[in-house]
Amino acid sequence: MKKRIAPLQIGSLARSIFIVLLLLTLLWSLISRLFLGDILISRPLLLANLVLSLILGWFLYRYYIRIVFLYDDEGFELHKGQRIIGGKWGEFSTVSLVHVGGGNFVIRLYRDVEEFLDLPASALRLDPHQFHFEVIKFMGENPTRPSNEKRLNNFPAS
Amino acid sequence: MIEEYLLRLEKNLMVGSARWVADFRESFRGYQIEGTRFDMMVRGGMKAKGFLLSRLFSFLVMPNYQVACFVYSHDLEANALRNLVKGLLKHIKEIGVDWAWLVIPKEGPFSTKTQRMVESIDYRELGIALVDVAGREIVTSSSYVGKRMRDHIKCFP
Repeated sequence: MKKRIAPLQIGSLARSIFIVLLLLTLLWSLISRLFLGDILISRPLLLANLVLSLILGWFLYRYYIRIVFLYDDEGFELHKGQRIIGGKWGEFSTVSLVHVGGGNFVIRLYRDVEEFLDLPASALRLDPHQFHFEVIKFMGENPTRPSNEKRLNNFPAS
Repeated sequence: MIEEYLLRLEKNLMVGSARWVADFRESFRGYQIEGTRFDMMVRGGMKAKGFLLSRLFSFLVMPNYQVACFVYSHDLEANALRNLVKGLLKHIKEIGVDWAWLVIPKEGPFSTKTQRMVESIDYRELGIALVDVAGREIVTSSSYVGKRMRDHIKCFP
């Protein structure tokens, strides 16, 4: 049975609510200017806007942004909103731990020289170092294969 | 104890004090160079990302050097160390790394011969450190890169 990791990503949720609030405010300003000749601002309207933003923001987060990760020792599924990316650990040749800035880490799985997939360890509130070890264990004895050297020639410049 | 040290070193390189020296971004465990298996290799660059001002400063002032830190936690005699360093120098040239650190941690003291050898090494692009994790002692090579690494690999459990 696959282990399911689905923490509430408060930052992403707040961002979705804020985006919806901004869009609704702009939309209301436009409509009100076009039909009433002025931008109408009132407390009930603001409250309704806020409530609507909370509801729509939650839907935006739940169906388009939320990250859910399911895995076992065979493979994994990464749900980003409604998109699903799946794979078997054995399909990947190399694994690394990448610091993407701001103390956030991803586990990078390399399929070959160019192609890689990032598992957002910090967004999933996993201990990135422990999770790195876990993935190494799933991938087998040798987490970096000789093809690694070739790939490192193409290491992106900072 | 060595595993704990490696974990602390990895953290210190990626998000700790070593970020003042370089932006170590990507860490590999069990890194292979031909027949040699390094316990860890952390790679990065000298252009830090940061936010507006630090990014601008980094873009304008910092050189775009590629850097790496290799960790090899096996007992080494002077001859084996010489071969390891030769192989590593060749490899860092091949993969386009401008300078690198080689950390050799061990639970216990290194032989005097090995220590003297490391102290006498003066490669501009490679800093070498022998780390006695149990005795909390560090011996580094005499190059500038070697001397600078001391403060950032001092993360004993």
